[in-house]
Amino acid sequence: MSWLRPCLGILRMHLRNSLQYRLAAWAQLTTNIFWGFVHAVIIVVFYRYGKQNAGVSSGMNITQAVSYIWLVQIALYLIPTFSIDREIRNKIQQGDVGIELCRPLDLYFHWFTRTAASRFGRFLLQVPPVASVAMLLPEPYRLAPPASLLSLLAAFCSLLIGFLLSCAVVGIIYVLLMQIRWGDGPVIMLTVLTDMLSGSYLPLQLWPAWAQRFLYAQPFASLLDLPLRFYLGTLAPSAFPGVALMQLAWMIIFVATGWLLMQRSLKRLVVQGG
Amino acid sequence: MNGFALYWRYLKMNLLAGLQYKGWPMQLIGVLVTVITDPLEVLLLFARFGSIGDWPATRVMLVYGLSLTAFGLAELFSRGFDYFPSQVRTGSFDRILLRPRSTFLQILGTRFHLHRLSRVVGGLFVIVWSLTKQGVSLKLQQLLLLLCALIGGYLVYTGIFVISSAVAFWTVQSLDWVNIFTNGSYQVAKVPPPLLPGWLRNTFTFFMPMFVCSYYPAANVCGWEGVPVGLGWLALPAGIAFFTASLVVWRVGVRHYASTGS
Repeated sequence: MSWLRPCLGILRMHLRNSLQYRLAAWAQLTTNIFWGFVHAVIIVVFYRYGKQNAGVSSGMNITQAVSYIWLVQIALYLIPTFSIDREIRNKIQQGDVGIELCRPLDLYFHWFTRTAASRFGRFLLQVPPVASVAMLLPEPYRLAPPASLLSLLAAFCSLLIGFLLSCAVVGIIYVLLMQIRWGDGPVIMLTVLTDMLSGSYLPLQLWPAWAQRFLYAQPFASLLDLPLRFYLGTLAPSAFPGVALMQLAWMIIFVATGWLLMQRSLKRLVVQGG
Repeated sequence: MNGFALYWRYLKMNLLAGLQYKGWPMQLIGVLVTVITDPLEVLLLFARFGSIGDWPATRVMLVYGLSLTAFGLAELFSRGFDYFPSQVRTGSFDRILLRPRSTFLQILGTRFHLHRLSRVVGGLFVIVWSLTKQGVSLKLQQLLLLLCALIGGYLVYTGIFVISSAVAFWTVQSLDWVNIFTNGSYQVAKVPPPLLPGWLRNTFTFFMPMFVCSYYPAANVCGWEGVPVGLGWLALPAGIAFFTASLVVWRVGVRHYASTGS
């Protein structure tokens, strides 16, 4: 466990670091809130004027759907697309990977913790303002309180596991980025796919009914959609053990894959530039 | 060498640089994925909810497609401005000021990614799909109108990029607010404009004339009731006006520029 101590140090350092950029954080915050509001408006229009009564067929009513939109804005920094560390990306692209490799640390877990730390800091900053604004909005656009206290707890625990899975997905993205000569095509594909299937655009429950089983079981639902279902009450807290087990399984698979791929690509790493 | 030739050279250079990557075919596949997923959300919503009021998916998709294509064009040809704020921070804008060419043109040419074509292709596909589904047959005049709408929309989005770049002269950092007007504005086009809350509709009509370049031309071409026909032709003038205003802001910004380092 020799990597644990330095990793904890990195965790502390980057948590502090990510709390420091205040102005940019404010700009981002207001944008996120506006963004959430626009999405809420879209959802409300569809629920109000839609010809088919989708609230019944999908098991998600208008309050839950709007709340979902706000929860996505709150948990934004826990999903892969927003978690790719810009510094690591630059290091890969400018050839500083060489220097990173000189450190007596496993590169995969070094980057994993680093990503986790800076993102979790952003997440903590995001929760209080977005949640309070969203809860104070007028009726159809409002974030509703959790279904129950137990639901909230289940949602939070599940979201944390989802966050680790998210870091593992980002780990795979780093490996893809290291194949510099592939360009960013594969990375774009992977991020678009995760964005869609994690339900960050649209709650997975509003997707067609015939796809629901697949959507529930695929790994990306574990990132965001499943944890949020606990909060909304569309999944009962009693389902938590099963869901958590599935999430953990996906996380282990993704970490193992990412780590192995990293070892493989480090064997024939070509540092471009320097 | 005149301005256009220079810009063309910039594009060619960036394109060839992009082709150096072994994986550029992968990028094209990535493009395909984006093309499919961009309008997918709207289509999924319509699949669940059916039509909204008397607006079926086909109608909304025309407005959405027009703004999506316009945004795609701006991303394709004016991408340099999207990346510009980092040039202020690192001080590399100094280098650009030294060259005896228009700063505007040089920034415009700093980036060109072929995969940005994806939104344009996707958007055009959506427009054609929507028009065929609605059974609208285009006469020359209406084709011209749609073309004007796209050019106007392109100018509006480029204007947004330029203004956000100019703001960076003061803030040094790039601020996320620009996203409200870029990505945010075509998100809004996913629902029929008459059903939006008034202030949101007005923002994207009078402040940033995005609906002027998508909704009104679409209404004109398809003959939707309740919308004055002539408004469709405002797209190009509105685009030009917005773009000119953004140029003014840019000029003021450049004059205000103080180097931040090298």
